[in-house]
Amino acid sequence: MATQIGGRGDSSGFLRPEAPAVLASTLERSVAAARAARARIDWERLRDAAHEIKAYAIENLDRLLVEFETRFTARGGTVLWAPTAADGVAHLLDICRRHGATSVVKGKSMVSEELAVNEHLGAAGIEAVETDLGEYIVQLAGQRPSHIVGPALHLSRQDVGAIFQRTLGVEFTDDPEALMTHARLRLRARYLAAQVGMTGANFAVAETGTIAVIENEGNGGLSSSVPPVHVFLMGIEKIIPRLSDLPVFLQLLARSATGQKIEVYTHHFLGAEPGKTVYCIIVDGGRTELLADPKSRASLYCIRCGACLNVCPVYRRAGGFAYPGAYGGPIGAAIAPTLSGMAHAGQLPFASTLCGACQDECPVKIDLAHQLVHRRFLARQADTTRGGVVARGIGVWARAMQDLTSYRRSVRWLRRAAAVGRRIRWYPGVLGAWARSRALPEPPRASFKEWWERRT
Amino acid sequence: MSRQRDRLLASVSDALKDARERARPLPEVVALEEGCEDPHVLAARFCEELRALAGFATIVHDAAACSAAVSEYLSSRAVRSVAVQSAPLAKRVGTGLAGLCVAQAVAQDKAALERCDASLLEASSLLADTGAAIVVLGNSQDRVLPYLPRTCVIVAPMSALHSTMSLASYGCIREALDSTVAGEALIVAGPSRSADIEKTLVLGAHGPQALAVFLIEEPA
Repeated sequence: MATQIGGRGDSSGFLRPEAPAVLASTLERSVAAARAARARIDWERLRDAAHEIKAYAIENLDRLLVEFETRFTARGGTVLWAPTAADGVAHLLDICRRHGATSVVKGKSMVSEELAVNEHLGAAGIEAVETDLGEYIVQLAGQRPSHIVGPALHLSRQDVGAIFQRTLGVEFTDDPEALMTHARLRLRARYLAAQVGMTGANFAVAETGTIAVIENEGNGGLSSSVPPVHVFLMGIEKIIPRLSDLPVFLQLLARSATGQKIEVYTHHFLGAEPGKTVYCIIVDGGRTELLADPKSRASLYCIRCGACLNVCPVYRRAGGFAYPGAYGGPIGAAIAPTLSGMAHAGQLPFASTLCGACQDECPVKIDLAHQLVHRRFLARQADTTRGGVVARGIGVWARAMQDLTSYRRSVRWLRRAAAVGRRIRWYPGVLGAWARSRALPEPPRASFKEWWERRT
Repeated sequence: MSRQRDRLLASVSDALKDARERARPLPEVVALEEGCEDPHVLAARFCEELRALAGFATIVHDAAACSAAVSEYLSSRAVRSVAVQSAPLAKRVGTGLAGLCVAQAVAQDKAALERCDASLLEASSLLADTGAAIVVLGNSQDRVLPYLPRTCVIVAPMSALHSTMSLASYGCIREALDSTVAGEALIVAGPSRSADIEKTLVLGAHGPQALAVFLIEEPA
């Protein structure tokens, strides 16, 4: 029997005891496929090249953005600038209203997750339909994606069958092919009816004003080609300088993301053909804060392949719902405190073993472990500056450690508190979400020293 | 609108003050080198790679033989209607298709193209190491052809073969940009697929379930 899944942003979808093991095994297969796909190419040379190109692009972003705008506009497109997430949403709503859109079909876009586009369009009476199968599944389930590349990786085929049965009214099946067919048939009509199609952008080429979008299902192709209006939604960091840089990234992205030599579809959008209206919304949404800090800048090199998630021991155990916001895993922990705010995601960099597996796997060689250490430093600095809970906690601990008597008294008190805490089944606020699926370990009856003294 | 542009660009410029002094040089272009140039070796590699992606590829002698082979392939898939891209070789092969309802895509609307069983496209470049084809689609009807019908056929001269995604293989995209072709240059490698449910591979996700490439030795 399939598990009942929780609502959007709810982590209860991960409560099945077997779920972490299933996820870890799925991710292990992804890693194995990615490593196998690197055979017969000079992987390290390409990684070095990609790192250098991204470093150049990020350090020349102001100039390259303007160059991209000029060329994209010359090819019949319109560039809209969004300093904030709210500006990005406002542009999108404005486009939909201007073109009388009541329905939008969406290819995969992490920025749209970041901006909560579906919710905003829905609130304005515009239906946004996800078309990537994984995104479609989580949209039907009322959840958010749990992985950058595999949004529904946390769900079993039985879960998907139950979701389709409940939301689409189809007979239950757990056959992936039958489930895909249900999705395809329903979405075909949506493509033809939608007035606006929206996709993300994997790479925006400054030299040519063209945009590359990479996918396997054909939903990106349909979302961009069938409706009369196409909107690209992209972060400022997607710029690369030249068309000749693109093959380097195509080789790396397909192998890292899905373990393929090349994805089924690599779209190079050349410009608006007759009868087509094309927009590109370029979003800052906190990225210039990362840009302004030389130590954080490399986090903007990310090409959203999800490879760092696949190898991360914390992500493998905790899953994507443990991370607030759109981005999970090591890269999410590095950028979310800035993009989503310290209050929302400031603790994420601390949820890492700093083992460095992520940076060994990263196709653009982002120094993720260093990024996380730096984010920890910034988080601690911010906490200390505002006299936050961690700073106060450390102050209390420092006092307790001042002399032996205080230390012993504190440890005894903590043991008693833990014993009481184990019996409590409900906690308020964030503690509640934590405690629902976890129990405090049983505290020892005596300290090691007491036990040793009794023993001898 | 322009205020938002200026604000965003000013934020970017401010954020990069320290980087200005360093002035990092533009990295050299990484040329993915062409390997073997023998078209028959490349063709064999291309066919092997495409088959590994659950596609079909074969070599035919000329355009007439291609029409016959495509007709046979489509009949085996119970295809009755074919929409053809506005490209010279595709048109020539399309004209020779026997026993099928053949129409130029540009004369159809998108709903009619959705009802077509197959599409016939022309590749400008083929990449042997990945079994991928580069197709330039310049109008809105041609643009939906790789995705809407359930079967996709691509024809290309063998001279379009490149060993890898080299700068030469990208020549057709540069050419399209220089001649101000709008629309899309698409690299397609096999039938559409998804592995979003438990990483189980399913073919024919939103695009075609079958993709075949016919390499023509002497297209002229």
